[in-house]
This record gives sequence, structure tokens and C-alpha cells, in this order.
Amino acid sequence: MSLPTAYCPLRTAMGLLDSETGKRRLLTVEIPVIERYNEGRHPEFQVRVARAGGSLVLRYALKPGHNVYQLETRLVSSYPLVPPETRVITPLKHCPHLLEGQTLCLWRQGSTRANSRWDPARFTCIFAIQAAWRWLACYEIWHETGEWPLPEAK
Amino acid sequence: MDFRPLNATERQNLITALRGNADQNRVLLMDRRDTSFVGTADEVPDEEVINAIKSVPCHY
Repeated sequence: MSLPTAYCPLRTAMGLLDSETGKRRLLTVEIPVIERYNEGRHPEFQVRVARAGGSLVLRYALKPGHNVYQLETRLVSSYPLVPPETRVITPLKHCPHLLEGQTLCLWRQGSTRANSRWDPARFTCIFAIQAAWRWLACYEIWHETGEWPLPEAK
Repeated sequence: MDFRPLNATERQNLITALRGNADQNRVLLMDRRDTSFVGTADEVPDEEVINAIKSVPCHY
């Protein structure tokens, strides 16, 4: 599968992940799902991939309601063993499940496979985007009602 | 950001959808073009799963 021109920078970022396993994961799992995600999507809402130090950063926009939010999801060097970190760039009101730097509390950031809800065998970076969408949908409701619409995880 | 809230009907629809997703594993459907909420479903075909939120975990 050839990569669209927009993804050419990603080719130079392959070395960001140290291991062959990590590189293989990018080429066989993450890049194909990003391509699928971007198919038929308005350019404003497509995922853009950039290099940031030792990480890969996905930049994108989500619009669960009437508001458009800019986000970035960081795939750290130990990804996918360590879950991706997602933060909202668009300023938010302080709310539940929002960590420092507007990082979303999704699956215990920095946790290990043993104690995380993140499963690298089943999930991809697109799952992180979908989880962020659901978080923002909750935020839009909380913004008006003051109540987070989903219960705490057990 | 100049926040534009959901109206009461939109908000209730979204709450129902989110809880159905959490409690009954119903699928949340995102518009392919702009990711806006378009409804729920029991199942989605594989080719549409990229725009459907089903078994996506979360901490909250």
C-alpha cells in the first residue's frame, strides 16, 4: 500500500520507536488504520502525523456536538505497551477526568499493561481518538448539566 | 472557544446514546466527514467500525 503524500513525513519518523517490533507495529497496524480513518473525511478532521522528540504525535479535530476541538494524541517511544496520551489543545473549563495540561483521563496514563484498561493487542491509535470523542461528548453534557454522564470505571 | 451548547433534545439523545454504549454495548456512530454524532446502532459492518465507538475502553 502506498502512502498518500500527506503521510510522507511519517516515513522519516519510523525510527522514533526503538525496536523492530515498534516499527512493524507502525507499518502494519497504525498507519493503515490512520489511512482508513482519513478516507472520505473533511481535511479539517483528518489525522496529521508529526514527529515530536521521541514520540509520534497525531493531530486532529473532533466535533461530537456543535463545537470543534483540536486535539493531539502522543504515541510515546514505549507505545503500544504504554497507552497513548491524549490532550485537548482547545481551552476547556476545568472538569472531571481532566488532568494537567488538559490531558484526558482515559485509561490511567502511564500505567502498565497489568493495571491499565488499554490492551495493545486489541487497540490502535484510532481507539484513542474514539475514546477522546466519547470523552468530549461527556464534556459537552457536563458543560451544561454539571454532571458527567457516565459512571466511574470499576 | 465560543462554546455552543447542545439543545435539550440533542443533549438527551446524546446522554441516552452514551449510556447505551456503556451499559448495553450499543454502538455510537460518528459522521465520516466531520465526526459529529449521528446516532446509535446495535452492530456495524467491519468497514464502518472505524467510525463507530463500541468496545473502546475508558477510565471514567
